[in-house]
Amino acid sequence: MQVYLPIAELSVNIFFLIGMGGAVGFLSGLFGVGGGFLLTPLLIFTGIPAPVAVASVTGQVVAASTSGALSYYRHGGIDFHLAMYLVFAGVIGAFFGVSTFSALRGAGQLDLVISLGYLIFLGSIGSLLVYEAVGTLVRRTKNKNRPLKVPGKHNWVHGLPLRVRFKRSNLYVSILPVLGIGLFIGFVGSLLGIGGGFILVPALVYILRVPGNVVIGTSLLQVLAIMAATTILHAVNSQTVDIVFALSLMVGGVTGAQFGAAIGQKMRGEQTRALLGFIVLAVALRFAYSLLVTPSDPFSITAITLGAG
Amino acid sequence: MQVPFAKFFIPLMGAILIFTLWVHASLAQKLVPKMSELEISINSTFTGENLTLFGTIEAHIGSDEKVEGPFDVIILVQGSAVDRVVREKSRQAGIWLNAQQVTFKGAPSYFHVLSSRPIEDINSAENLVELGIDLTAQIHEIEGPSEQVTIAYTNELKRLMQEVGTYGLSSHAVSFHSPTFYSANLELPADVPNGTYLATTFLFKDGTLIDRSAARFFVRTIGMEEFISDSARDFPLAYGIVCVLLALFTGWLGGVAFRR
Repeated sequence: MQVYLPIAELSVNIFFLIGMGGAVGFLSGLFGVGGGFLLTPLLIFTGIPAPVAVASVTGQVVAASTSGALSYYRHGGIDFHLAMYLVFAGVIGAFFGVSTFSALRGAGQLDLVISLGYLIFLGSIGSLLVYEAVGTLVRRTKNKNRPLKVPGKHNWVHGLPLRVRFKRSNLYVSILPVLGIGLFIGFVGSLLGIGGGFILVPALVYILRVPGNVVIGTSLLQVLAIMAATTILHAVNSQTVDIVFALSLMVGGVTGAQFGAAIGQKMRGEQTRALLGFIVLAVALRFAYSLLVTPSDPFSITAITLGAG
Repeated sequence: MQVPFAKFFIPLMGAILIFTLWVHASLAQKLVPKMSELEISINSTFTGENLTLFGTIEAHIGSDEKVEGPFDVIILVQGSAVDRVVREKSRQAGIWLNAQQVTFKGAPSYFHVLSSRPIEDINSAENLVELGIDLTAQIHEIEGPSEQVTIAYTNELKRLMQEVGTYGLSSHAVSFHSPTFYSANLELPADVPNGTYLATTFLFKDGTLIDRSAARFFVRTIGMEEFISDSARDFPLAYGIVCVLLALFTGWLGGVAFRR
């Protein structure tokens, strides 16, 4: 069944959209990530214009993180005090991200920056995940019961001024790195159409030493707030949010996530992390391919007029 | 290359007008064109539309001259003007990126020429350009680094538009069912650009333009789709907020429905 996307001005098969949302939702439930970093590239590779894909996926990420954040909220897994600082900085970052998005789109370099951005972030995070997970698996098979290296309670970040006490996270830390992380995630997330959870969680754990029981919930809340703000900013600034498109992705995504989460609980942590790492690396390589290999058609055409005609 | 629009266009139109009047006086035959639809509505299940353009060639009222062929018909269908950029990727520092570009201001969003014979057999290229039966003649302004580049990019524009079905030359699309009755079929693709379209029918006899007639038709989204694209354009803030509320609701519903 074909459905007409009023903003993209394209006619696509609705089952294809829901199916893709479902597949990515399944992975996001399985790995506990937002899924935007997989969905946006998949849509771009299948021919959806990059601006519409990026802007509409932000809506899908809001839906995906809402169900997750709600479930963590019920179990008390959110540090609202910390999230408040992150969101504040994140919204400012998102504002700059969306402005950059529009400027790049006008200059014709949006696709390039999106490809490079994905290559850098997915490439580094993917390598890290694979390296760590494979390392753990190798140690396990060698049966060396070496204790896992627990990150120390203090590092250079804890020496910075303007310290604030975050009771829920049991932290007393400077707000400067907190704001810095929020700003960065907001900027990157709105520019690339990703929630940024897969960058935010490691940053919170390794830089701020946020404990494991609140890190996912807090990160989900931050992603939810930033993506909500980004959706509105994209709607106002570039008018590329397609509500029909976003809704089809949401329906698939939210449903798929439930099945993914059910299966994810049966898998071992390092197995899922290794698998996620390989998928992330594959997407990064696909972007490298599009940047390095001679395109089949070097010419492209773009309408300058913003929004629907 | 800068083509001053008014300076070029107004004298051209004047020349065409005089030419048309002169032709009318000499040949008392006129065109009576019709279209199967005057409004193409795009709804959620729109997968393209077939438009039939047809008409007859009649003698002017009061004229006792016989209507005699053979005639040639060219139908030019063009969409509303949009600004477009054609960009070319080239390898720089090892990666492929958009390097050179040419801007086409006021280019028709849709450009199809339907004719009863190949247009170059009907009339000379210069005359066709003068009549506007040429994409370049319909573009208001072209901005590019050099004339050589803009010519090459204009060809790329045609090719890219042809690939998505918004540019085409169909040399045998107009068929004559009798010496004075013709019809042509125009297939509008699923992603046909919205806007006002102009269908101009040119009637030729022995390489001379006898008559021409223009008619408008509209392509627009209707119902829910029209409402959505209108609100996205006119009330972007409210539209964005509604998108977010919808996402929050879907997420909440998913969480509740599956009790995760």
